Amino acid sequence: MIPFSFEYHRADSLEEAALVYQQIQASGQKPIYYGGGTEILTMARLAQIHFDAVIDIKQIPQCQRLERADDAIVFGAGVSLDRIGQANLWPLLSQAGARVADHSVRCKITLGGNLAGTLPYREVALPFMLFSSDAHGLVFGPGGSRDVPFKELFNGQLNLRPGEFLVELRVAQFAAEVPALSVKKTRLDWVDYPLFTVAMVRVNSEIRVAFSGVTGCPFISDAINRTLSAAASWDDRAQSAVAHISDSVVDDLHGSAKYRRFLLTRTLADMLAKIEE
Amino acid sequence: MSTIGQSVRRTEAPNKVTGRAKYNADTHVPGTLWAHLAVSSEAHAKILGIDRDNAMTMAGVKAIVTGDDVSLLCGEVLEDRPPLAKSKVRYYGEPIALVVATGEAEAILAALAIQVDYQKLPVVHTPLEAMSSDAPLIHEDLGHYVIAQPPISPQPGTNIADVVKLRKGDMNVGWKSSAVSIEGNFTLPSIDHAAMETRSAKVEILHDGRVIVHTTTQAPFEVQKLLSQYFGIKQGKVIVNAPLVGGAFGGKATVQLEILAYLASKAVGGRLVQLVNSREQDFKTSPVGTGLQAKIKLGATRQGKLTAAELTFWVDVGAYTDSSPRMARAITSDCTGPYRVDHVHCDTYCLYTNHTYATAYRGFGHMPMTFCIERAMDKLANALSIDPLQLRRLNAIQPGQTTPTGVTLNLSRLGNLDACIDRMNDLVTKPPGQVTRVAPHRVRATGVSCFWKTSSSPPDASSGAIITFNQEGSMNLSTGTVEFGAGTKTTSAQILAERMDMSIEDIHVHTHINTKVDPEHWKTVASLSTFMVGRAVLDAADDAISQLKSLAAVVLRCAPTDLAVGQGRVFIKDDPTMNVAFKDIVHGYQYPEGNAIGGQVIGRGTYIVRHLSPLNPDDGQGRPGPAWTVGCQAVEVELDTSDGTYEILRAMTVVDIGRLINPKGALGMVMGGMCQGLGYGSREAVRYDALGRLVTDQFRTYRTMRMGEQPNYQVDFIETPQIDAPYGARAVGEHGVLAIPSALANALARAAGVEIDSLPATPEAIWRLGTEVQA
Repeated sequence: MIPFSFEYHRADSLEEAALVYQQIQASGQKPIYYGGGTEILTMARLAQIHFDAVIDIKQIPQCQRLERADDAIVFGAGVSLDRIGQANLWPLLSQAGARVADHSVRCKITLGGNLAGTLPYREVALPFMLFSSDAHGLVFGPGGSRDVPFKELFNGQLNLRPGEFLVELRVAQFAAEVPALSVKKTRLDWVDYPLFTVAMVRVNSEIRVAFSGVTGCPFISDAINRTLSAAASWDDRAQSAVAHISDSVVDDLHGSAKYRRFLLTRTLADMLAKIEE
Repeated sequence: MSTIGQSVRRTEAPNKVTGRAKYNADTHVPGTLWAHLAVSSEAHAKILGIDRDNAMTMAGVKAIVTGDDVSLLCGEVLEDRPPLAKSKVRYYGEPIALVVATGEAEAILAALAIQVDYQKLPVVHTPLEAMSSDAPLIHEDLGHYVIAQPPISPQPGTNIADVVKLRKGDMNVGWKSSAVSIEGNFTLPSIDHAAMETRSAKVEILHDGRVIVHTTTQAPFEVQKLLSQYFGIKQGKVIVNAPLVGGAFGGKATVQLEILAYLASKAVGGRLVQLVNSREQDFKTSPVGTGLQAKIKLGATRQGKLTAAELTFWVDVGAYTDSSPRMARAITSDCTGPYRVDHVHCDTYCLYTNHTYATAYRGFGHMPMTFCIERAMDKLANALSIDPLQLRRLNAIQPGQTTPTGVTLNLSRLGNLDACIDRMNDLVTKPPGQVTRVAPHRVRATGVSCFWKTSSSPPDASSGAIITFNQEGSMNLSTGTVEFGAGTKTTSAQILAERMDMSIEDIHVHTHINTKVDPEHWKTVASLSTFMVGRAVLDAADDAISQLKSLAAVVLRCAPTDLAVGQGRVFIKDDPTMNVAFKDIVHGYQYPEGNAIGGQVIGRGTYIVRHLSPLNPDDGQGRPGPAWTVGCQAVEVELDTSDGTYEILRAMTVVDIGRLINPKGALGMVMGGMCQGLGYGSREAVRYDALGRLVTDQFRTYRTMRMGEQPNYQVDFIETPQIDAPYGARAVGEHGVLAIPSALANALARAAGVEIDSLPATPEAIWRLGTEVQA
């Protein structure tokens, strides 16, 4: 059980959410924004986080958008990973999201929650990182709304100002039309934390790759992308790419750094073969 | 129609599948206080101080108990464990303080507020480290502990809690007659029982002195005995209730939370207190299944006949012994696997480490023991270039031969391993030694292993059964076994229905155990329930039948020997039309004019195991159990040789079950065991960090088999009756698990061309071994 009491607020509009947040804070208490709740509830159970109130933002209509608009695709931050997969507006995002946790949990975890959580994996960021010049986020907070290029919004974790929350992410429609792959590797089980997740796209002859689970947080590297786009065999390119990842490869319960490097090299080579077929 | 051999639905199944079954923590009496444990954050440390002042002032807190308030050492074999750590902690997660509060939240928050000042001590991580002469000492007072249940041989001044020696034949002769020998070193991690229901206990001490306990246990009578003994309460005043248990696997055969809940209740004037493990505490505070290290050397003739076996097991008992010394004897008793070996030398050490303490786990040490011997057998098959199944067939133990502890076997005691192996030979379709390439990087291989196990129960284990009748003539059956999913209640109902020749629908089994009214059964462990309880039920049925016949003889004006029972009636054998219905005699017979005779029929039955003897401390000779169950298992895998990933395609078991009483029940039991064995073989492990802190305290990190990961299971039964068992049925509760991890490792080892001598066999482990071979 969660051993402490807290208030639950359900906001019906962006303005209401930000206002309630400020009011609670002004009274000397600690509010947090609440999406699917999977991480908040499990951490609260173990008293690993503390808060006085949660503000549930996922039902706010702007957080529930899941549609094509003009030349973009819009994903509300409050949409569950399961719904994103069902709608499948961007297959690469569906794929990346489909391997987070298990099905029951994906029916709860939201796009915003996966990005804002404390677990370092944040797999749904990967597709957006691959199109960072063509992806934007809308955030809302005490100062109103801001439209932020994805590159500024996310560098391994969400960059939000105090009191702000993510409303939606947008990506240019063409992102859904290029060859793309997302691969997750685990210690053994289909459902488990990742050894790593890799998302790859090919835009004309250019290969772009974003990684999660390899080092601390998701990352993308121009140097690695250049290496992978160069003219060389799949194996050679994969090896050079992994050689660029210097010393901070994760070594944990799920797998050693050495095995991750080995498996990553092999996975990249396989993905290159597939995407360049 | 006979009910033996029919697939009868488990008596408790309808309530379980509809969610109506109530487990211990499902019922809540208003006014119950909650207890919560503050546990150690260190694996090995002196306790310099415990500050409970802040916690005591918190809302709802009624009492806080620490080790300083309790002068008690517990332990089933050796009394080495304080219920709350006293002066030092010996494992991460060890109970330090017990908070009693008005509600669960209050108790949790207060437990978090308790501050402990530690002085860290060096940590002992493995049994072999514990053996080292310069290892930190975990129990300084080992020489002063009370031995509660001999035999045990603690070695004061060391971390050796116990050593078991077995000597059979003459090793010099054994080695001299061997042409080939192999050696292997094995390391197996501790594992968790991971039952769906976490452990919990509720205790209330009434003003009349009665102690009422409700607990998740496989051993309600042991709880009663130990609470009585530890706290000086008359045994009759301790009443232990054991409702349905949501999975146990040996982990609920130990007595831990009951003692703490008693201390908690005592601290608040005897009020009803409930202590429920969170999943995390169930993982780190309550005991685990044992890990071990082993070294095995086997010798054989050129033709493959085993001549000598030299085995050493270093059992990781963790911080406290619990039932490990008994388990060490179980491992030693069957140490050669089900093979004839005339010259055997085995030493089994129980070693203290700073791990979570170990207790029984399905198979009572036989799963890790079997892993070691069966991996060694595959090494021998390779060294001799003999098919692994053939090597086992060649050495399979036979009636007339003796076990390592000197028991002479016969067909009834042993069963037919040859038949199991032959049947497996048909099932595997390809010789197990053969590796088949199915794609450039993908190969298929099958691994095989055999198992045997006897019960290793105390030589005076006993069981009872009581039968009462409802006025309609149906029967109520009361026995002392706990129902945790093994179907023991259903099996005993089938045995009673068969002996009474009546429908199982008319047998009503008492599901919940209450030590005050139900006859004792030693413990629901060791796969003994069908045998022991079954014998007691047959005895009770015969007693009831004799009473029924005596009364019916008066009514029907004949001798009792003229009568038989069946279909709820007592009838004259040669003229069944002359009969009297149970309903007319089970509560006495009334003549038409009103006079009555007889009275209630109450059947009583008992059973006590016979001819068992503890192992001799010098050479390990003795008789550890009434009979063995033997079998052969196989696992087929497809391995990607480039990265070590694999798929488990098929798992197969052939077991000599003696007589199938409930075919689908037995199938479920064996398949469940196979699934558990695959989990142990492929992914399960309790893991500790460099400071000895357990890091697998959730299912996020403690991985078990999930739905969807199950291979194709094939189970086949051989039926060689155990003559002294009810209808010939052999023990089968634990056995499905025993040789699966080794069969999996044997398959993977063949496929990958590496030696897999530790578990779990993860893809990374296989890859790493492969890179070492290449290097």
